[in-house]
Amino acid sequence: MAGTFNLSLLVAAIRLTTPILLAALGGLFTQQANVLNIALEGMMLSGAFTAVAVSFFTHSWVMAILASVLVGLIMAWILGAFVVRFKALNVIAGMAVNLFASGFTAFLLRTIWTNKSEMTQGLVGIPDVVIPGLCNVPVLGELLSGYSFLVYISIVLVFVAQFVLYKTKLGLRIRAVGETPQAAASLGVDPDRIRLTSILISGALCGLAGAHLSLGALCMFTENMTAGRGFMAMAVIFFGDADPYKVAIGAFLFGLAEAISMRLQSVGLPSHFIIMIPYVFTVVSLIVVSINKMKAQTRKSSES
Amino acid sequence: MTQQDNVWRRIAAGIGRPLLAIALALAIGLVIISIAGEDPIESYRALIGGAFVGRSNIENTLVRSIPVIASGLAVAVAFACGMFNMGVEGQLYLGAFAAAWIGFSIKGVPPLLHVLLAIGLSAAVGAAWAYLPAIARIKWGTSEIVTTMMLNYVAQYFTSYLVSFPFKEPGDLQQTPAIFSSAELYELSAASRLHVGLLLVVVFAAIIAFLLKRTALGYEIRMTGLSPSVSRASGINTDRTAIRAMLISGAIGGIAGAIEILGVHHRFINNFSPGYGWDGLAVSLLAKGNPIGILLSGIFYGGLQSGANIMEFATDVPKQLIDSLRAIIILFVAADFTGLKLLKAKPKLPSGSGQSGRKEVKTCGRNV
Repeated sequence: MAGTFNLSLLVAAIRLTTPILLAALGGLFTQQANVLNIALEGMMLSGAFTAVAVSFFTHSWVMAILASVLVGLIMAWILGAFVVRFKALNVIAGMAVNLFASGFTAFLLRTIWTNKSEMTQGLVGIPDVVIPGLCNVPVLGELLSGYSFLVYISIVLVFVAQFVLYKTKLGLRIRAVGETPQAAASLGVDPDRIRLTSILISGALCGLAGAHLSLGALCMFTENMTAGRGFMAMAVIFFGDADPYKVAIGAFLFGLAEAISMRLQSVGLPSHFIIMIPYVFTVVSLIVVSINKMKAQTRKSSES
Repeated sequence: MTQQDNVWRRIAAGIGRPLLAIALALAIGLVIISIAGEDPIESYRALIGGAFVGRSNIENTLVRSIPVIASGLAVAVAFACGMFNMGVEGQLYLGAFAAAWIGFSIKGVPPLLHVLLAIGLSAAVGAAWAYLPAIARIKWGTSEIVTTMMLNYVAQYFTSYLVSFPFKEPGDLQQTPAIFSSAELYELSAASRLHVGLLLVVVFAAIIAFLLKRTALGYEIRMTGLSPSVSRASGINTDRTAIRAMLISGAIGGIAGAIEILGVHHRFINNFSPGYGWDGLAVSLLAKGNPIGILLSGIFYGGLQSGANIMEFATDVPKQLIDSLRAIIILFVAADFTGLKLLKAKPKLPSGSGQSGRKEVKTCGRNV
């Protein structure tokens, strides 16, 4: 009995990890380019709404996913234009994007549909993937098979992100601009362009994260349904020092904490401290990272 | 005469930009409402009338604006020193709970003293919550933007725990027992619940304006915000100044929560804030951190909120449209469109200078 409890908890954790992971994979590119992106939440919410709206009108989940990515890109482009071109403080511009997404999706939700059942009737969700052969294996089947399509995509994307970041020219440029923009510029790389590109990548992946949330996990859209997951993704990025593998681990820990707190809630126990842990851990690890950096710096300067 | 001209020009410059942003946002809203098939003129009439016409509407607007103004002042003090306090929302929650706790757990205190105790504890709690990010920033260079933001969640979940378990009033609702009447802020109008907190935030705005413009600490805060290196060279202890600015900011954040609890709700209610701390950030930005400007932009914000409710009631336009317009206002106020000219002249500039227009090198999380 205890075993199945644990297994289903793990399955729930994996489901809850995906939206955070997708958004964090996007955000780590802006982080590597040294652009603090607090708009993950808003871009994700826009993607979530778009997925539901497009699925409702076209009855195609593929179209819905593509449209979410597109809208994520558009939001990112607006953010990028204001941050990179018009020199708005990225914290402020990001906050505006979040506020806009939250207000405008709620506005459209109420303008397009009069009630919830009207919306959910026409929706085509993202299908679950049953892995043939594996689905009948007792433990592994339950653990690895039957998740929504984008769950698998998100795992593939961890490796893609790792590859792009460390093995391609674009990844090198993003990291270079993040570390020393002047040096990158002197080598003929336009830092603004790279920053904009990194913001666009984050937008596309946040769109995907939103699509998973609304059309993969729930098959409906509710107001502010991202519920802070974009900020969780931000925490995860800092937690994992913007490294794809570490970020994946961090995202899973957040997913696990969420799953455990849901369990506790369902039996009436206080779940608040469990859900708090990842945030506390992020703050602590941030401080530890900066202390280490400071130590390394003082060591370097004392050597020279 | 010329000096007076200068003052007016400065005021015009300070107000002109936000007004332009507001006009632009309203124009965009006009288009959206028309596309949605509603009457934009009728909607805006309801919005503006609902915000600023008639006694009860004005009172509702003011009630709404009180916590936003207080939060805005909190943001402004830190910002003057070059620090981002993104944690006002968390400070507000903790301050609110502290005030409620003093309010319902101590009996038989004289009214004025009871209120002062509650506000005092909330200020202490808010300041304490801001202290950790401030120290981490000063000592180890940890981005205070991120830590304050993360600590918001910790504060919110913590108060949520307190009000769901140890201090829960028996019943279905997640709220504490009501505070004793000795801890309530004096009510100016029973119908709208407008309370004396309005005068308090006006006084606070005046105090902050005085602090920043007329005291040594204020001078040091502003100098540190403008240029830490110059300030250090001229003998200002910038570390101490920045920590003090964050402590004051956190204390005001805590007081903002206390005022809302003691004035309106009279008990702590789980998740009572619809994002006052964030609104405070926007209001502070709109006013460029000027305390008197924050009073005006705070009232404008409160007006948009209560007007949106009236608009939704009178027409079929959902009130969330106004949230989108608020976002557009923030975006346009934050942007520097002189950058457009810069863009054309760009080839002349060294290409690495993209950052230089920004005041904000320290926000770059990873490397700090």
